[in-house]
Amino acid sequence: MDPLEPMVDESPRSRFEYVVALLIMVATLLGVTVAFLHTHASLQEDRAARAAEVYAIQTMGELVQNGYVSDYQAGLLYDYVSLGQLGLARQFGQLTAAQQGESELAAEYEQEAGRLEAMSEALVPYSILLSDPRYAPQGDSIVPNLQLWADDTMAPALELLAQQNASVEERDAWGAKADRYVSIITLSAVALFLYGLSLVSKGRVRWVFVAVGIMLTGASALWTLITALA
Amino acid sequence: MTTNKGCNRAGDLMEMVPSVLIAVVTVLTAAVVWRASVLSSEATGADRLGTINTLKAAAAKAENLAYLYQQEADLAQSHVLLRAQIDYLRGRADEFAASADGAAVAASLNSEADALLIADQGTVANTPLASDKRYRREDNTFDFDVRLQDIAAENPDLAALDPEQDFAQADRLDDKGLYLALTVIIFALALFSLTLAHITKHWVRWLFLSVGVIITLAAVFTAAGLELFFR
Repeated sequence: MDPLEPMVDESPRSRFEYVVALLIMVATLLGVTVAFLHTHASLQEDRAARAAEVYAIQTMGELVQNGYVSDYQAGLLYDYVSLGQLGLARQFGQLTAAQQGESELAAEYEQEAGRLEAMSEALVPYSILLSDPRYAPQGDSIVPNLQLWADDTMAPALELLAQQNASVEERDAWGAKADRYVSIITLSAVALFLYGLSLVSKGRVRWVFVAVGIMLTGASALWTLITALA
Repeated sequence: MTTNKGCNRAGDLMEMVPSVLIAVVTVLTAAVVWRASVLSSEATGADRLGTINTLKAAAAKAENLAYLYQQEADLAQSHVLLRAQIDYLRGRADEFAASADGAAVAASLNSEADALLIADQGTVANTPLASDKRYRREDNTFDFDVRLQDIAAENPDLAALDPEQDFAQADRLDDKGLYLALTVIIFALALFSLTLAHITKHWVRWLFLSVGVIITLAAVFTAAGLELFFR
């Protein structure tokens, strides 16, 4: 081997092809890297979308459960109040009957009032609105703290909703990133096309193709870096 | 003349080896991309199954809640009200029985209490929430959570639904596909080196060729290792 013989064929056309081949490989490497980053971003987007879906289903389930529990507790409260009111009405009847000397009728009213009161009181331990000190009527009030109970009951659903919203935001962010990578890959494809076109062109125009290709490859690399770091 | 022919043959071979290797690496890259695509498709299927199972589990829970709160809880509440009346009537009967002329009233009250007891036992007292002590808390109120678990266990197929397992499987497949996509970059580096071997001469060509082959082997082993050991 002649030690002075160049490592690369230095005839004008071969040197040009050598440069273009290198540029094609650089653009290909960049394209493959961006494709990998796009795959990663899409994957994260899918996972965030899935999490958002699961949170949405769980939120729905929590609301359904709240509906049944609320319905049950409201029913208990309604029965407690209704029975108490009926018992009170019987007591008024008893007083009136006693005042008018109707002792038998008064005794019947008393019996009925006692029974209704016993039924009403029997419901208290089963009602969270009447038995839980946080919600039970305080002092002279006969109304439970319904607002606090509603807030506490809704808290898990609202927390799930917040997590769902956060997942949706995360999905959108990864989606935007993935979209940018697609644009970058498209740009790299255009650069590759120009490099290929330069190989079948003659004269100065082929250098123009190469120059524009280099610009596009450089822009793609810069955009990739900015997107990856964002 | 013969020497020149020999030189040309060796030169042709040197041209051919990188070209063949480039073709081989390209085919390998395509195979890895195909495999990553298949994995991604399988991951999407597992993901979908997980979402469907999440929906199924939520629907089953909603059904169980409806049954518990709209049927059993209502029956249990009727039982509580009947027991309250029975206890009240028995208490009053005891009071009357203690008085000198209250025996007849006491008997009447006890009779009504007996009738209510029969009504209770014949209807609502047998509802699981009222009859099974496991569903009673220390303060004698109903433990809906335990009852809900038992209702759910009555349908083993729905109780066995585990969306998290499906999602974990989807994540594993996705990760495997992602790592395979990473090996494509290694293959691209090999292609880069082999391309340089294709356009250079003398010892530099051998250098690039060797580096290209080493990178290719590394990529092949990485892809094979992922396929064999990443479960």
